[in-house]
Amino acid sequence: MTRLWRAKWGLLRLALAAFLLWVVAADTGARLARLQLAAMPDFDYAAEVAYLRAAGRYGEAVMVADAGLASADAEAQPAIERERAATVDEQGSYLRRAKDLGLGALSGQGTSLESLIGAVAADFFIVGDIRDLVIQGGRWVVDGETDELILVLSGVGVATTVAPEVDWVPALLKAARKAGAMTRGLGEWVLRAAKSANKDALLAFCRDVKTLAEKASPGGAARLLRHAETPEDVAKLARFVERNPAGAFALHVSGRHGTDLVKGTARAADDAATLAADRVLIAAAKKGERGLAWHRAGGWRPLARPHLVVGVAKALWKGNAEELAARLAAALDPRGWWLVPLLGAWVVFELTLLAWRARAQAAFRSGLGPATA
Amino acid sequence: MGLFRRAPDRVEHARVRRRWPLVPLALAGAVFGGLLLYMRAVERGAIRSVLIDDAEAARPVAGVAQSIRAMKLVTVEVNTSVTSDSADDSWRGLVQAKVTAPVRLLYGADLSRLSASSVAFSPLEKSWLVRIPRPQRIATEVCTDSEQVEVEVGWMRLRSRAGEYYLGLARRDLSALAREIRLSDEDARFVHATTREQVEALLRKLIGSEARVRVEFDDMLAPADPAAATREVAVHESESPAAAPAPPGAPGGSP
Repeated sequence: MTRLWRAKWGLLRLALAAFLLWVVAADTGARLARLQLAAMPDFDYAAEVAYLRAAGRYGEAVMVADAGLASADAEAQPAIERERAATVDEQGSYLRRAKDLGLGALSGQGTSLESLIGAVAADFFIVGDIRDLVIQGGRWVVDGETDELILVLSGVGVATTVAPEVDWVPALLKAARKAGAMTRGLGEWVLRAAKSANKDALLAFCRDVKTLAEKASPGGAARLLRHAETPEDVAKLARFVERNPAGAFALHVSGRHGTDLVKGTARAADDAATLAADRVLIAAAKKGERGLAWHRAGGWRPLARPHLVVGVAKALWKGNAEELAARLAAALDPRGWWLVPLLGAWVVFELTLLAWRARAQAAFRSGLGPATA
Repeated sequence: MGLFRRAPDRVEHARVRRRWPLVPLALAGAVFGGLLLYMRAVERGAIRSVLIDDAEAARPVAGVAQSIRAMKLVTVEVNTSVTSDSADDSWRGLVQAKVTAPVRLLYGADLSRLSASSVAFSPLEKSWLVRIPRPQRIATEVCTDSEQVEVEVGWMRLRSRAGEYYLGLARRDLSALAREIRLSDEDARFVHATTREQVEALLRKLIGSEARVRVEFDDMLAPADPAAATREVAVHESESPAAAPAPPGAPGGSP
């Protein structure tokens, strides 16, 4: 005991060094993942906006541009702003034509409603001519239609008069169905729910679709429905885009991979691991195809596991431990390659110093033995 | 006794302290160096694994647009036929002349009107999208050397006089009728599909055979004469009214 007490400062230093080494070394996997993400070039928002504009998908183009303006670096901002302005101009001209000449004026006689849905943003559906045009277009789609689901959705349109905020959703669903963007499973569920007059379930579903349309644009929502087999899937996607401002962009970029990941989440939406997984998916999406390839290869897993210290900090302190940890990690990441060896060397130094002193003391004591005895 | 026993320990401790801990320092230095090299290698390896060779980066959109513009026109040929007839009925009998000739309609999309914004590349889908003007009729060729004629003359009419005269009238109308031909829905779809295929093939030659290319028709780049555009599709029965006046000074006139 006496010897231990004598070595108390050495032991304390050793404990401190070992703790710091553990904190930094345990984060190595996550640090490497963060470095990998940081090494990738950012997603080319401006090119994607130009492409979506050229394809007439103005709603999605504006959504991608907004995501870019919120997160791209200062150098990329002017190009994104230019593309966004060009998109809004072209969208305005397209919608003017649609309003002046009706749906038939839109290119592709059979796909007018789909192209209108793809061209607009959800805020066009609040009130006004475009909203009327969409609802009217939804009715027009029924003419000569033999698809049972399309006909049933018209009945849903009547039912949604009790919830006027979603009365355009059936038209969006019809357009999705016509474009082959509604899965068989989801289509069958809508049929069953409509036939059994399950109004509450249908309205909840329509509200989830509305959330998707508001965040991802109506065209983007129709595309996301391609990956949803059940209304629960739609609800999960809606919650994801609701809780993450860049969630719709992440799903646009990640497609089936991202939607499968969101749909596969079994944990609660506010669980720390779920939020961490959300953050990593969004960060990967902001790197485009490369980020997604990295995500698909499982590079995201170390980042989705919060550091144990963060868990302890959350238990002791009610502040935002994740944010603090993220800031600390951002500061330490570039230094990790020498910080870990330094702390490792410190641990070894303290250990050998303790052993060396113990040995020296033992030698001294054995040399002094007869005199003290 | 205890007090006396502690004194030599203190002395020993002081002596130990005075000496430099060279062995621990050397060991720590070795560990530091080894770990440093290892960590550096791990970090570089991790970063290298996510960096993709950019040697085959996408071509600049403006460059591709310029190359397409240089190609000017893409032509599609539609083969059809035109029939013109002319008749006169009097107390001397009926004269009826009918000429049917093969017609070649040439359609082209004026690629020189493309702007840089007409070509877009999606970094996400790795796909090119080109918006071109809808194909327009650029030439109408009536092949009179392969015409088929039918002449019917009444009892007091001469084939060499009346027959040939009305045959001439029918021939005169052939070109005007050919120019008025409007494509059927099916033919218009064929022209659109072929134009798309041709532009896609041209683009693949420019940017690589594996490239994903989508061609859309841009209504903003609408032709100056909308009547000539294939978009205004109408089925034409290629039968002329008996007394259709010949357009004066029409280019590519009757044979």
